[in-house]
Amino acid sequence: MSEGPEPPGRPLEVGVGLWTLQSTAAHPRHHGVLARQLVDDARLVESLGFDSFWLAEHHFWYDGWCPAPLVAAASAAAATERLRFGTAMLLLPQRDPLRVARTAATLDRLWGGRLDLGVGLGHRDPEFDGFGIERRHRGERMDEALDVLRLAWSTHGTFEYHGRHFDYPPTPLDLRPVQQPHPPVWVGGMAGPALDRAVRHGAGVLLPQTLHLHEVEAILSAVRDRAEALGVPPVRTGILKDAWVTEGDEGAAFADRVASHYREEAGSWWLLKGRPAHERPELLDRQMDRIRATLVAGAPDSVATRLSELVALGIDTLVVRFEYDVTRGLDRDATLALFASEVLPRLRAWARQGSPSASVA
Amino acid sequence: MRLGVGIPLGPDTAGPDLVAEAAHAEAAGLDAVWIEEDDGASPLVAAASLGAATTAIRVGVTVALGDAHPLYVAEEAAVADLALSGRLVLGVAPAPLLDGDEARFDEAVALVGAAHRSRPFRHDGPEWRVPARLPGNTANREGRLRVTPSPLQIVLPTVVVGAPRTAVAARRGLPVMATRDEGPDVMADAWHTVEAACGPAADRMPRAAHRVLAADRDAGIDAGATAAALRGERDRWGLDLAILWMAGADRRTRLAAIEAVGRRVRPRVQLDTPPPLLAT
Repeated sequence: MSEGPEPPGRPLEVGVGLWTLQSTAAHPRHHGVLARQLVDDARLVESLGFDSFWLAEHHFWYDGWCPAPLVAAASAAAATERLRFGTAMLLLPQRDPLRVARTAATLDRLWGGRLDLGVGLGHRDPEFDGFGIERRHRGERMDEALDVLRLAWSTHGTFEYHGRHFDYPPTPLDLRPVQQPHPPVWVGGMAGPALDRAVRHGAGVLLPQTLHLHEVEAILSAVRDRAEALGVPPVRTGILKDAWVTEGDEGAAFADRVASHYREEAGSWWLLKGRPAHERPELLDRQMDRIRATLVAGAPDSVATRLSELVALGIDTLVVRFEYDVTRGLDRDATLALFASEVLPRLRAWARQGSPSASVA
Repeated sequence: MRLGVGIPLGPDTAGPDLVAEAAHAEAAGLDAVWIEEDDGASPLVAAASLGAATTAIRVGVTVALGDAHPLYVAEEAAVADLALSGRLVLGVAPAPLLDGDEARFDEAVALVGAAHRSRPFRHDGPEWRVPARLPGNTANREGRLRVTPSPLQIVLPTVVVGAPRTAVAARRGLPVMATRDEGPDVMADAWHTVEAACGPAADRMPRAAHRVLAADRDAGIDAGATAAALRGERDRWGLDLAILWMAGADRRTRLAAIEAVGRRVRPRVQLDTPPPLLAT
């Protein structure tokens, strides 16, 4: 990468995701086998030199998508030494935040402060309804929950909180997470309210995969503006990226499979313009086009260049998504290894160049 | 009789030590380890941590139920059971916040049970309605809920911890497990209640208890007396799974005691009377 984007002059965190523990119709797996593979995969990811390992969360679906990523992460944290574990995303508004604080603190304390807590709003009505929660309260619940988390993690004595959605009478509490002041929190999303929320709570912003470069630029600029306006320090910015590295032509197969994965997920779950997505195939097609256009697949050089473009805009954390049910038929271990040997060192070395004052953050 | 040891989960517990202790217990031939909710820590996170380093030992937990939505516990337990390759034992006790509200605890236990069956369900209780069918949640509405994934075990062993909750255990068809201070007379009564309610099903339930094991730094444990006490409880009320806790012992003492339990206590509680060479 002799010419190209301006390096930020600071370390880059590069993680891999997303482990979901799904046994889908397209790629069925025994759930016990998936649980074991999660641990093996974490060991592999650590040995290859990645910084972090990311899990996702959903509830009540036919494929057993993991509903408790912090518990699953514990099994892998125990088998690794320095690999960080992140959630992209834990669906905080669907949960009890004091309980999340406890669970997260236990994981953080037991396993050397390696937790990154990414939180998302959630979107599926049946998930909210299963827990007796109104979906339309998710924004407010998220705001209160973020306050509850920070308060719970920093309490050394008695915890108490009285909000509109959460009300906790005085309780003895001393969770003592290892990371201080608390495990890093990331707010997932890209819309204005999500960015506001992140900045207000001092949380990082973790952007979704399907953004074009110019959109990322606009969002990062908006995040910086909001922080300045509030007079708070800049927050970390990360992004998920669907990616595949190949010296052959697996890139096209990857794109097809990723599109089919999202088509099933979106078709089953999403509402597009108020209708279930499977009733609006033309809108679904448009979303699939966006997915294909924003994923990064190809030879190491081109993958490295495209990812460095994101970092040059100010992204400090990349979560590269190789792991899907649908990539089980492709040689995922080979792409991981190729990324680790051909892309990761180049990205890291490049990111460290330049002076921090030249960086955008 | 199955024997296990309790592993403390305190604010200073380091994951590697927790895992090493569980692995040590497995290497000593013990049947189970047990982790309690202490100081707000999550025993299911601790339990899942043991999946890679152990292969056969059962991992029991006591979790508090009823303050938050019981489905959170149900889901975490299923994921932990998968991480443990089907070795979880789920102990449930009322959350302190419940303050004696037996009905609420009973409903929570019922809900966890429903969640662990591998078929969709509806629950309409005084405290929780699942699915809630709230007016705003209209998209992709479902009439019944299925909690996934299911635990790996076809029936996740679930026990109600604490004799005061025997009525709940009996109503739900579950075993009751003694806490450390609930002795043989209390448990004999408790099990009569369960038997009366559950009939022959009670015969298939494990009869478990938490017990204190004195472990001295230098003198170790009194294996003979411990074995005799356990046999006595077995004969009195059917104890067949004892979890031994070494309160206050430092780590080195605990590890030595674990080995001693495996070598000198466990062999003495397998038969009606210990074999002659182990008689003392």
